[in-house]
Amino acid sequence: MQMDFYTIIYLVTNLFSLVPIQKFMQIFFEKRRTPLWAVIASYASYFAITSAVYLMIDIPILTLSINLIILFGITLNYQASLQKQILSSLYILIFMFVPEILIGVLTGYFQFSFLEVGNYTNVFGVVVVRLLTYLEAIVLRHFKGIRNNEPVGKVVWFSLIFIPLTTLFLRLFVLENEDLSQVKAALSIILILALNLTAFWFYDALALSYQKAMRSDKLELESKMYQKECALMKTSSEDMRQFRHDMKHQFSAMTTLLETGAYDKLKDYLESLTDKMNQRVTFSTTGNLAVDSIVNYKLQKIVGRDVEIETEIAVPEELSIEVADVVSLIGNLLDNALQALEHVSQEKYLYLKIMYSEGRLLIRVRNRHANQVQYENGEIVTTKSNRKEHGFGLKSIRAVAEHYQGLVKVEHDKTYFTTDVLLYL
Amino acid sequence: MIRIAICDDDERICNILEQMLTKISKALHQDFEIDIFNTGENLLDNISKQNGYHLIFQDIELEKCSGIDVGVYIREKMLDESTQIIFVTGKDGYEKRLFDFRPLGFLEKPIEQKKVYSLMEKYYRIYGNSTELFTYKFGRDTYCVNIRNILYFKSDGKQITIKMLDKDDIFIGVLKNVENQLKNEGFFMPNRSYLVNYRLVRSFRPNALLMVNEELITISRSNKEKVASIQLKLENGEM
Repeated sequence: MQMDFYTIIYLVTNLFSLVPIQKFMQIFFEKRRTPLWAVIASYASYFAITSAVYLMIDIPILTLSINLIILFGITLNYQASLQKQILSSLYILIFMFVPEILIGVLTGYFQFSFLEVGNYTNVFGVVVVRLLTYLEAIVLRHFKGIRNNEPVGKVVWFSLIFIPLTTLFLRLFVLENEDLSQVKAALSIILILALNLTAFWFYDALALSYQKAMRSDKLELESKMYQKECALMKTSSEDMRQFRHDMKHQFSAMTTLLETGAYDKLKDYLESLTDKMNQRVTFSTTGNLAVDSIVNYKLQKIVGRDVEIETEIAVPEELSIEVADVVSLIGNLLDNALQALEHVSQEKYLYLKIMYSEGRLLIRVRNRHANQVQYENGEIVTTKSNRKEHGFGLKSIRAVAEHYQGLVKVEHDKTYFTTDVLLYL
Repeated sequence: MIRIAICDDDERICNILEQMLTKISKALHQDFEIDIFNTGENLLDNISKQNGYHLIFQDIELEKCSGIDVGVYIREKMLDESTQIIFVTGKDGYEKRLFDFRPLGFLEKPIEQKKVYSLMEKYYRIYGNSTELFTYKFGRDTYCVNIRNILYFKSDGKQITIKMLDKDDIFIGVLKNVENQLKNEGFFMPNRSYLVNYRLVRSFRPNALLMVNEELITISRSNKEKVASIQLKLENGEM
């Protein structure tokens, strides 16, 4: 093998093709699950192996298979199901090779066998191919549904994989045909591309609709939770009203005790009343029903449990935020904090700040913790046995923040755990 | 040194607050000059005659001249956007209107020293210990302007425009240098060509800042998260 001009151009363009590959991966996947070096290594090996195979062996069917295997290897770096990884490597392969064959045909190289050594050496062609692939990647980036990892079901998966796979073979047969004219060859390639794009489009639309369905399921669940909370909050506020009403009677009873000189009884009476009072502290009195209810309801639960509670809450009576969002956000933040406090044996402390200012809602929850924070993939996971439920908490918090285009920041040292939330209202 | 006014009809509250502030001034190594007013009218009378205050602790529930009246007078009549107001309240509920005056914070009665301390900390977190003056040169002359009246600096090539509440000016310079010069003075960059005064933003939006002069400044996509972090840091302090 000698390093002629074509080889050099091929190597450079093959290196450049890593860019569209990475873009394709971003279309299909949202999150990495391996460290950055592994990703870089997999891309580097793609370049090294495909270049070597092409330059030294150059049998189309072999090049294709090796490409597919390494692309699949790259997809393993991302968080997704195996099905999705297979599916996406197949689609990426097709999106990469359709321009290649198309340009091949257009530059007069179409009567070749997939099983024999090729001899394509058109420098112009190889450059255009890469540019086309890049353009393709940019256009396809507009499909945003696929990135989501919702499962699509077996039948759908089968049909989604069947289309690219069959077209791959069809293409093989079409180009094997020796009497094929250039125009027909080009046309058939374009049709095959169109078919695959349609399948891809279908996939994207399907993923989006799954996402929607999941979201509405989740909303329904949250609203059920919210209704339950509301019922409880209502009971507790009715309790409170009852208590105030009772106070009048209590006072007259105590006056009688005082007047008749029954001091021992009066003392007992006062003590029991103090206990009752301690159980009924209001923390939030902003006049904003949602904020007051959820804060008071959640914090009532830990009154008398030796937790030092500090609050700073100032929000207007009306806020342009969905009540369900306020309840879910503050509820989840406080649930997480109370959960963590359960493991703390001394100097239990909880700080809650909710401020509205200049179009924003700013929330800080800070609590003492027993230093049992665990991470998984850089995300904090619970120490609680019921992992799923807890994970849902932080997820909900992030979902609400995302909806209001805000920010969630979580930080902790050995003693304190702090969560900051910013929402744009 | 900053000038502080306390306005409350309850003499006791005024005294308690003054004592707390005196203690806090020592703890923070800052000088406060404190004036006490028992009615909103007296406060406003004083403001209109003399120099204003940096910070006013204003009781919301004054009978004749309430917190809202004081807010309206300062922000809407005098068009003073730089005086900071902390509303003091003894009742439940916060009227929506109060938030329009961009208060630095709220203080609930009975007043806790800890809360006053944290509000004063916030004040210094945003304003730093500045000399209050920004100096710049144009030609041979040196000018100086009050930092609190600067809405933003805008860079156009080599030229920087200072947009103030009452006027504009131009000087030759680099925005990065101005940013360094005003470190810890509550200025931040929403995009490459603007350096904005945090306390003169009327409304923070996901992609833009509405300034008190109704001008809209975009937050560049790359600065979006940084800008959100700055807000959290200035409002709540370090984590």
